[in-house]
Amino acid sequence: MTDERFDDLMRDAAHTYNVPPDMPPIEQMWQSIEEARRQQEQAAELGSVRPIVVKPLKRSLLQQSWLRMAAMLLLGLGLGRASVAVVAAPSSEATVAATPFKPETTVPAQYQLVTDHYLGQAAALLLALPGELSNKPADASFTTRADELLLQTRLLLDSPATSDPALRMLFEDLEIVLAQLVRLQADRDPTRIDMLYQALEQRDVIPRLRSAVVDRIAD
Amino acid sequence: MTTATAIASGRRVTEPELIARVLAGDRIAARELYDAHAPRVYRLAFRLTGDADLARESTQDVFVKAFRQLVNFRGDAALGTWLHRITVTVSANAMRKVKRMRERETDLDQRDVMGSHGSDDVDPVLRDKLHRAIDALPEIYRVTLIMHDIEGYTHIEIATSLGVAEGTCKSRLSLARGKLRAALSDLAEELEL
Repeated sequence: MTDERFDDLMRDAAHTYNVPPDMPPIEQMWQSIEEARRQQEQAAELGSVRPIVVKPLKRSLLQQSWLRMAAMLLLGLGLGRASVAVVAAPSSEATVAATPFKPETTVPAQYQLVTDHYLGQAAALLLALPGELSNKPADASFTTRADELLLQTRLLLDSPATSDPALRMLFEDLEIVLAQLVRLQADRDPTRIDMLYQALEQRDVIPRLRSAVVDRIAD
Repeated sequence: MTTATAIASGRRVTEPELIARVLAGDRIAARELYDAHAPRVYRLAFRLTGDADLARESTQDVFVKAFRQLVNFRGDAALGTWLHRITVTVSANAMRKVKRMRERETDLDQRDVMGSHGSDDVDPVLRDKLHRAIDALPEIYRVTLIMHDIEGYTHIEIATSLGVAEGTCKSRLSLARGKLRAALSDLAEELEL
């Protein structure tokens, strides 16, 4: 076999040997990675608790400043929860039928208003997405809205507005999707578009967002 | 400034900055790092394993390991090279465990489907024999050949990924090609190549 013929064969192999699919399951793999990392973190936390428990303490517990601070924090949290329970007590019947996106009673009204506004804006933006992606060139105002929402997402995630775990998870997923969307506007790579749609579909972002909006309107 | 705000301000985040943010627990930074490297890692894993499930599992393992060990990443090589090194190890381990690659029976019809984008000038029987010969190469030769001839990595990239000298990489490639030529020689004579 000539060198030239062998090189032809190897070039052919590049197109035929173990050919990966055009679109890898990016979103599916990311979810598994996140889950594995979460489990590792939990295991690490459990692991770190054990040595503290069995370690003999040489000094009196309350002589340690960090422990005093932790005790005060726990006391504060306990008092906070107790006060929430007292405030929430009259509406305990309604709590039984609570939907996942019902805001906690302790979320200040101004945060609830901002969250309602944010959810409406996010829903409108994502519903307009297919139309926007068919536009060439990209609409700059769409990117600006996505930018603003991305910043708001982070601010709300760092605020009491997302104390509800289900709402928090929705916000975290929205943060990923909005970050992908903002990056997409600069570079409309079909792979990135596909990644964005995978993220939306596999995380059920739009149905969850719609349900959150409807629940809050119903309130 | 978080990655979300950096993205929103239109500022390009550098790789060391991204790594620092991932280490600080920034979830968006972790996702950005993943988005930047996952397609290539998956591609390499698929080429090495030839199996969609193994490639997916290997890619997941690569990133779980990478995020866990990122604190030990010194930055001597590019992050991509470091990830490809993990990919080679993880894929090889996955294949050893499953032993699916060498033992699997892929009939000619399936090979034809897999080779649907190949050149019409290549005899399907010869192509199939080449694929089997690549599968049968010892691991170190096979990895080098796949990375260089199939995936187009440079010798320097392969050498850094595998932690060997560039010369070692070149000699492995030469040996791998020699073995393939030997494996194909009978059939090539029959086909008068």
